[in-house]
Formats: sequence, structure tokens, C-alpha cells
Amino acid sequence: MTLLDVQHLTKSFGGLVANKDISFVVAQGELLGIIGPNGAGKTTLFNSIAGAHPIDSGKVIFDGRDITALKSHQIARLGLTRTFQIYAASGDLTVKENVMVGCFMKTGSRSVAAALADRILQEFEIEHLARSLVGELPIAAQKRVVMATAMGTEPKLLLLDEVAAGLTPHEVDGIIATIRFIHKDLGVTVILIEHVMEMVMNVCHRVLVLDYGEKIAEGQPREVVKDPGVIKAYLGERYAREHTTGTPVRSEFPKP
Amino acid sequence: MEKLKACFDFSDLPRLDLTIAGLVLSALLVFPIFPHSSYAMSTVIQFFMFALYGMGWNTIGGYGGQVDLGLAQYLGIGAYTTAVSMIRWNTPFWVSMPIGVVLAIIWCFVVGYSVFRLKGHYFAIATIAMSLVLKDVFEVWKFVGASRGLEIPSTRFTSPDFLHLVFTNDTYYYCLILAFFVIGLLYINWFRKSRLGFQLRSIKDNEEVARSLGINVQWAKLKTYAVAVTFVSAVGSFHACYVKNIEPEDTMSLDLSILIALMAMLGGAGSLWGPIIGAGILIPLKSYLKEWLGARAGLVGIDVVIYGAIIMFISAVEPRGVWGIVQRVRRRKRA
Amino acid sequence: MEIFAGSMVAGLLIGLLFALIALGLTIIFGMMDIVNFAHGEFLMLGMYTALLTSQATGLDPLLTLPVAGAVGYLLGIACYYGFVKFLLRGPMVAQLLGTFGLMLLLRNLALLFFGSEDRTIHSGILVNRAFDLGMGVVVPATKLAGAVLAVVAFAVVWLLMHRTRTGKAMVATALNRQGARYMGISTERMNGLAWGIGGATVMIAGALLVNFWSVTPYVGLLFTMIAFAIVALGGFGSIPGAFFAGLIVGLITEIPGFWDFFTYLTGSRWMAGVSMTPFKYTCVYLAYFLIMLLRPRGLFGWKN
Repeated sequence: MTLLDVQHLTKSFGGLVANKDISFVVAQGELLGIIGPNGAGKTTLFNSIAGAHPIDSGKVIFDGRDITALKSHQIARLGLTRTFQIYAASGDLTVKENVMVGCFMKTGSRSVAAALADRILQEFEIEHLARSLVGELPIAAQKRVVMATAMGTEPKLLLLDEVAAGLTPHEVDGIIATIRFIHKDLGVTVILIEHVMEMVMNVCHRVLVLDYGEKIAEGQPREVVKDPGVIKAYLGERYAREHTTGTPVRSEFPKP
Repeated sequence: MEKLKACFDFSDLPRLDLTIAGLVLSALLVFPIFPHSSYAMSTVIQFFMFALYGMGWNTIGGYGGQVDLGLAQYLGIGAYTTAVSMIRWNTPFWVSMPIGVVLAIIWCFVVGYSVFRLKGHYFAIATIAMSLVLKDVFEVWKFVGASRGLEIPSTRFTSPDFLHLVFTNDTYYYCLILAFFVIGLLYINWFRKSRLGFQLRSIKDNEEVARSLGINVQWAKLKTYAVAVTFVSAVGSFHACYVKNIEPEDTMSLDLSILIALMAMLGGAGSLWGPIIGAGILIPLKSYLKEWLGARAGLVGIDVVIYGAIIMFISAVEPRGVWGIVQRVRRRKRA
Repeated sequence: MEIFAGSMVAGLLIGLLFALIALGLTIIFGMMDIVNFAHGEFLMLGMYTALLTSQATGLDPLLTLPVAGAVGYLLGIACYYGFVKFLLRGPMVAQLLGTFGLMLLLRNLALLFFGSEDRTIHSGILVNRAFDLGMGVVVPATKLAGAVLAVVAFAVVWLLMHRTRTGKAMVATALNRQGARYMGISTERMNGLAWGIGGATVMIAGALLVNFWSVTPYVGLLFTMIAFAIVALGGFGSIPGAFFAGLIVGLITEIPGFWDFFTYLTGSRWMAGVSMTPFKYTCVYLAYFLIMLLRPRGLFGWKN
């Protein structure tokens, strides 16, 4: 069953076309990765889908409903939650309070929200951090809090924006486990934007490749990385060589 | 019912805080029994009023991070509604106060709908501009006495008049504002743990993230603004009955708006005790500096000079206020 | 017709002086994103400086301009290094309230030292002279000189900012703080300089203003708000924007005159019954409010 259907989405800022005629579908229970170099329009695509800004043309259908014209909080209430790459937690919210903000979307009662938050903290194995301030945590823990907060809204579809950026390989393994948990055990459909190749290769069922705002490839991770156009444009010759010779790869995209 | 219970639930606060708060409150309760000067009494009443104004500001400005510097216009709306209706139609305070609150809320939606799209300095100055526009209108509006203001003819009523709040003995005013204060405190205690309170703190943190969590940012701000305005306007009505003589300059001026914000700022914006601590420091300081240096030593203006210096010092050295210092010390102890 | 032309000229003349008042505010804002509530208080001090210097020395008020400029420069620098520097580290709320505290301090120090009565300049070569510009428009010499010298001061600052090395460094800092630091520009020094120039220009404006405007310690707030409106209209941080916006705001304050003109034109009874004079400055505040809502970047948006 199709959960998200993006049709001919176009968005430009001034003269710059950030998303050009992008179409794709996401089925219920899928785990889709979106890759592409910096400035390819990945985050803009998330913003367009989640209603952070109005789009120029095209249509976004979520769960059988046209959400193109809706505002971001309305979209969130329908069950489509997105996270942000940079979480500027300057405030005085503790981890538990932060997760409770998410929980308050579905309930008006403080006790219900607190109980739900406690359960989520346990599931994400961060209950020991409940009383710390989010801004004071290391990045890996912050990303976990971000995902936990998003799960507080009980989404059907979760958009994760670079949750593995800036982490050590060991921490990436932890994040992968968390994403698998969200996807498998909690049964949430996930779309993730990622720079870290390993994560996309390991986790995603299907990958979408963007460049200069356009979709240039789509398919299974193993196949997409063999696509000559993709190799040349994004991964670089070196990655392709290492990959075909079987050298273990833990590389990021070359920055343009 | 759950809401009512939550009002009285202070269990998440440290026991030390509650002990001190309890001691201070009981000291204030027994204060009128002991001999005191009428100046001390009026200072205490002022303290309660400004603590309440500060609590109102603290909802939108402290928890929500929207630095409104025009709250005095709502104080004016409350005060004028009560004064006008009492002078012209002998309306009891208990009728005119809710009317004033409703008028203030309507006006705050008009102002808030447009200004909440702005951020930072732009927001703050826009609120100032709007409050000055309203003040200018009141300065020339004959119906409300223009710049000469209004005087409630207290001789028309016989003290104690509980309907119109005309008392010759200040102790009555004291009891009333104390009751307001306790209700206000309990409400804020509920508010800070409510859904709206959490939404606001999230908005203060990051509006984009708040939206992605299903929060209607504009509406949450407007609702909170209405809460803040209710506090300010209700106490503004009380102000009219208490001082009996109101003019635009002392009910709607920019200085007053900033003074209100300062209560919460000095004590610690975004905390339950902040506005109370702020008012507890600033109001006695202000009235006694004025009394000693201004009136007795003949140095007009020196009280505000010191006042200004204090504001400068706090904002440069400890912008999170007294409560910020307390929290830092506690955090260090725990670590 | 005389009313119309008279209001027009009066509006433009006072507008030029308004522009000079707002110049310092916009430079400071462009430099460090800080709103200075004490700006009008600087102006008030400029007015007192000119008034007292001319009274004490018997010099013509116009000759006190350099004194006012020098005092303003020193005061601005002192304010920056003694106070504002520390505010910049804090949150926005602290900046707003901090400069408000400075405003209270300066205003009430003036009250303490100069008293609360209105003071005006009674002597000087310009006082009580006027020029007839034809069409029945008569302009007091004080206002005309104020406007002309305001333009000169504006031009000098503009040249300083765009022709000298230090000035260019300031512009660069305003455009890109981080970048300027990499280029070896001391942003700290630039900030101090911005406050110095801001203080000097606004106090010169005060010395010009005092020739035809009586001074009390409370005169500042009105001009702070006018300067805010000009800066908002011209775009926060834009110097040419401030110039044109000053003219527009000058015309706005002449709305009562235009109102009378249109009352005469239309012969409307209703319009004749409404006096706009008390709303002279209300219109400025309202204009500020509307500009912020409709064009948050100002009419001539500059800093993208």
C-alpha cells in the first residue's frame, strides 16, 4: 500500500531550482534512503514534503490525502514527522521534557504524556539521561533524543535528516540499530537522508539519488551504486574501484 | 479536576524552595497584624501587583521567549474600563474587571495576530510601537478624560464597599491582592506543566522543530498572549480602584511596560519564582530609594539612576537573573 | 496651496535632521544587531551640550557643533567598552533591557543635573531669522541650517565609510563579521568605532535640533522611536536607506498640515472636525508597525 506519493514536485528559490520535477512513491513499511552531494536539494525535499514552505508545483499525497497545501503542524498531526539536521537546543528543556513535547501532540494530559515519554526513553535506552539538558549532551545522544521526540508524536512516516552525520563509526552502528528498531519493532515507515554510505547500504531497502535538484537514479542500494552515472557524479571513481575490489568501505561522499 | 489538582502540585520542586516560599508567604500573611507604616503597606501591595504583572509577562516572555515590551497597554485597558464604567454607570469592580479582561483579550488578538510573525528586536519594537499608538489615542480621547485622566470619586461610595472596592483602610486592598496573587501563582504552577507550557518552551527553543512536532506556533503564542494579558488587565482594574486616579502616562507608558518585563528578567525569566523574586527586590528598592533619596534628600531622579544602573549591571553580568545564579550553583553542587 | 508647499518643505527639512539622528542607530545595528534604546538620550545630551556650551562661553550655538561631536564620540566609545561589549555575549532580551537601563540612567542623570524645566536657545545668528522661499513658504533659518548641515554630516560619514581604509573595514564587518575577522580586521575595534560615530552624529544632530526645539531630560524617547521607524523603513543597517526614510518620516510628521490641505481641498466638514495635530507622532509609530508587517526588510531592503 502506498503511504507517500510525491508527484512532479518543483521548488525554486529565486533563480535556483532546488527540487525539479521529483516524483517517487513510498510503500507502507518501506525504508527509503535519499542520497546526493551537498546542495543536491535533499533537505529542501524534506521541507517541501513536510510543509515547511509552499512548493511551486506538484502534489504530495500522504496516506491517501493531499497534503500539498497544508502547514507543517497540520501535516505532523496527520502522522508525518520530520527531524532536523541541526538541533539547536539552547533552551532549558530536559531530555524527558523534550520527548514530552512530542507526546503532547496526541494527548492533552500531562500524566499520559509523562508515562508515554518514560516508555519511549526506555525503548531508546536513554532513561538515564532523562533529567539532563539536551544541549549539554554529546551529539550521538542528542540525535537519539531527536528521534525519541519524533516518536512521541506516534508517526506513520518518519523523515530523518542526517541522523548519522558527525558520528564515529561505533556511534553510527548504534544509530543504525535505533533506526532498525523504529522501523521493524515500532512498524514505522522511514525515509532518511544520509551522507554516510555504509548506513544507506546496510539499512535501506531502496535508494533515491538526487543531483542539482533532480532525481537521477532510483533502485536497490547495490544496483544504484553500480549505476555508471551515479558513480561518476557522486561517489567518485575511487569509491567504485574500492567497492568492486571488495575493500571495506566506510567513506563519505566527496564534498563538491 | 485533574487540572485543579495539578495547580496544587508542587512536588517537582526542591523542598528547600517550597520551605522558603512557605515562610515568605506566611510572613506576608501575618504582616498586617503587626504595626506598620502606611508606606510599607503600599509597598507590599505594589509588590503583589508587580509580581502578578511579572507572572503575566513571564508566560509569553519567559516561557515563550517572545519579548513583549508593550504589556502596559493592556494594563491601561483594564484600568480604564473599570474607571470609566465606575464613574459613569457605578458598575461594580467584579463586573467591570471581566469586561476589561475581555476587551484586553480582543485587542491582544488584533495586535498579536500581526506581531507574532516578527522575531527578536523587530517583535519587541513592534509591540512598543503599538502600545504607544494606543497611549496617544487615550491622551486625546475626551471620553476617557484625555491626558488629564480620570478620577474615581471615592466619596460616592461608603467604605468598605466590597462591590466597588472602595476602602479607606489599605488592609482590605491588601487581602484582595493577596488572594489574586495566590490564585495567580497556582495558575502559573499549572500552566508551566501544561501542554501549552511545554509547547511554548519548545517554541522558544526552535520554532521549526516545534512545528514539526505538530504545534500550531501562531495559535499557541496567541493563547499564551491572552493568558498574559488577562493577568495584566485584571490587576490593571485593581490598580484603578486602588490608586483611584489614572492617566495614560502612568498606566500605559513604555517605562511601565519595561518595568513589567524587568520583574521577570531580574528574578529569572521562564521560572516559577522569577517574577516574584524580581518584584521582591525591585519594588521595595524603588519605593524606598524614591522616599529616601528622592523626597528626603531632594535628589530628584537619583532613584531611577540607580535603578537604571542595576538593570545595566544585571543584563551585562547575569542575563538569566537571580534564578539563573541559583540554578548554576545547584548544578555545580550536583556535578 | 501654501499649506501644502509649506508642509512639504517643513517635512523635508526636519526629515533631513531625522535622517542624521537615525544614522548612528542604523550603523550600530548593521554592525552588531543591537537595538540601542538610549539613542534618543544621546540626542538629548547633544542638545544640552550645545545649549550649555553656548551659554557658558557666549559662542553662537552653531559653533558648538564640534564640541557636541567630540563629546558624542567619547561617550559612544565609553558606552561600548564600558557596557555594550558585555551585553553582546548575552541573549537578545538582555540587550534590549540593558540599553533600556542605559536610557534610564542617562535620562535621570540629566534630570539630576539639568533639572526638568524646558530650555530653549534665545540667542544666535540664526534665531528669529527666516527665509522666504516664494509661494508663501517661509522657512526659519534654524531649520534650514539644521537641514543643510545634516546633509553635510551625512555626506561626511558616507565618505568616511566608503573612501577610507577604516571605513571600508567597518562596512566589511557589517556585511560579514566572520569574514572580516579572517581578514585581520579587529571587529572589536570596529564595534567601538561604530558607537563612537553613532554617538558623534546623533549629538551633532542634537546640537542642530536645539536651535529650534526646546530641551528637557524627557525629550529622548520620542526621537528614539522616530529613529527606530526610520531604521525600519530604510532597512536595518542601511545608510542610504536611512537617508530616504528620514525624509519620508519627516513628511509623515507633517501629516496634520497635509490633512488641513485636503480638508480645504475637499471642503469636508468631517475632516475639518478632526484635529490631526495630537497624532503627529502616532502616525510615525503606526508607520513603523505597518512597515514591519508588510516589508520587514525595509522599503529598500539591503542586507538580503
